[in-house]
Amino acid sequence: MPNQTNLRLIDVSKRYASGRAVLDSLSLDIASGDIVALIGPRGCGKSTILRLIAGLTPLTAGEIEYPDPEGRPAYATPSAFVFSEAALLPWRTVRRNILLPLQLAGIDRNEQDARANAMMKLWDISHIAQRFPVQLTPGNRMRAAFARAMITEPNCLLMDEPFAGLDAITRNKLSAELMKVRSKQTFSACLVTHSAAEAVFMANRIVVLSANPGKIKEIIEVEKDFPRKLAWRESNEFQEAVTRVRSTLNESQEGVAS
Amino acid sequence: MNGRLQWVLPLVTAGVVLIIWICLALVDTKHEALPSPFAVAIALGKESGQILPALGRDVLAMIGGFILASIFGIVTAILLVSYRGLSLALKPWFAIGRMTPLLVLTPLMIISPLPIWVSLMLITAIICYFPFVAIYTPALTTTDKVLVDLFKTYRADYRQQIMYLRFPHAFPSLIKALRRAAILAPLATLLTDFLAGSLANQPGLGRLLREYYEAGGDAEIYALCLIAAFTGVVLAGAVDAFAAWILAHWHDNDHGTH
Repeated sequence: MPNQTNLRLIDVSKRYASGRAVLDSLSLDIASGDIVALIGPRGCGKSTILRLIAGLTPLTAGEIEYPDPEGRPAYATPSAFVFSEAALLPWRTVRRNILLPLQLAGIDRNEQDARANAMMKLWDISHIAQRFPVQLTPGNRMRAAFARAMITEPNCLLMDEPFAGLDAITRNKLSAELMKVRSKQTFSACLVTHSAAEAVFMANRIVVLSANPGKIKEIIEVEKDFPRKLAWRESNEFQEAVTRVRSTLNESQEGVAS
Repeated sequence: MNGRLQWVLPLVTAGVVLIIWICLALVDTKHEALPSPFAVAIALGKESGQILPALGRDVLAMIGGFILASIFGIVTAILLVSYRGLSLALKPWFAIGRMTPLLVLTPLMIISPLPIWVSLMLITAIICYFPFVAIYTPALTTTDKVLVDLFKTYRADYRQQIMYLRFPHAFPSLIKALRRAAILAPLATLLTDFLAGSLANQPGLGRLLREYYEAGGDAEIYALCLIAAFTGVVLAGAVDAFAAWILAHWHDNDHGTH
């Protein structure tokens, strides 16, 4: 039985007021448990896709559907965003940052507490619950940002280069942790990245986009079961997948240049 | 050691200034340039029956004006942020207001039907009001775009955005505006009273200053200026202490928002 669809983009187009077309008739399904990576040259509309899904930018044409199965908890949201910076409120503790979405949704205080505790446990940050963002390492700030995003059990977790501000070691460590979290709690996600290696490691489908306007050039499936461990990155299978993504990406970029 | 020096050295400085003052007064035997500190102390004692009630009246107008300015400053800042039309309508006038030396308004007290202390308080309030427009309103409008986007992704309404994001985000600027207003308040009251206080049956420090000047009472003028400076220091110091305390406790933690 195929996995249930969590998010569906149907012929989505986006055109700015200046008339420039950013996206043209883009269709994409994200099933439950899918991690889809969006990769492509600059200006292909990767981040715009996430902003459209999150409702931060209006669509010009097309439709975005969130099939809403029954029995979803009251706090559930269609999507949740993890930005390239942690975007924590500096005047709130880690714990209060994490429960913010539930507070905004008017969820009962006890449920807020229970969910926040569960998320902090999931991301192994219970020990820093009472700290303020300024007191955290960049890695812990991002962990708190992930915990906040996942507290609402979103249909789709939207990640816009979430590791861009981290050093290489922390980046690898955090992407492995995200895989570990995924093995404990299945979620769907859409990841924007510039790194072919990051896309291959984290996603089961990689959407390579071409630019001007943004279109799907190719969808590459990564046939490796979750959870994936850091050691897999050293394998030939991984390197071959990365090479394939890079060469598709290069073709896509050559298309832009010509 | 440093802690003790922090207190001792300023006292030593004050002692040195006092000694220089005494020496200058001894050289200037006719006391044309400045009266001796002893003469000032005697004048202060002799005139306290006049100076202290005048100080009381000025302090009331000063604190009243400061509180009025604070309330109106905060309310109008929130209104300006909430209603773009209002902001557009008032923006140029606020800019002109910031450039106008508001003390020129003081003659309005002459034609005002209000009791003189009310007029004094209103002029003080007008002068103290502009730090809020200049510092607090821009801080409310220039909240980090990523944080605004974060709130939009959680479908936060405008009230929630003000309460949970813009208000706490601009809190340090509010403190800055309060500090600036506290510094302006004594200056505004004293100068307004000096310029237009002659109508009052019960004079404030400003009018008393003019009376002493006309009577050639140098020592009395010095005594009055010392009292006025001390009052200014006390008000600015009180606001500073309040600001330091509140900034140390304003973080939003599990015990609530301070």
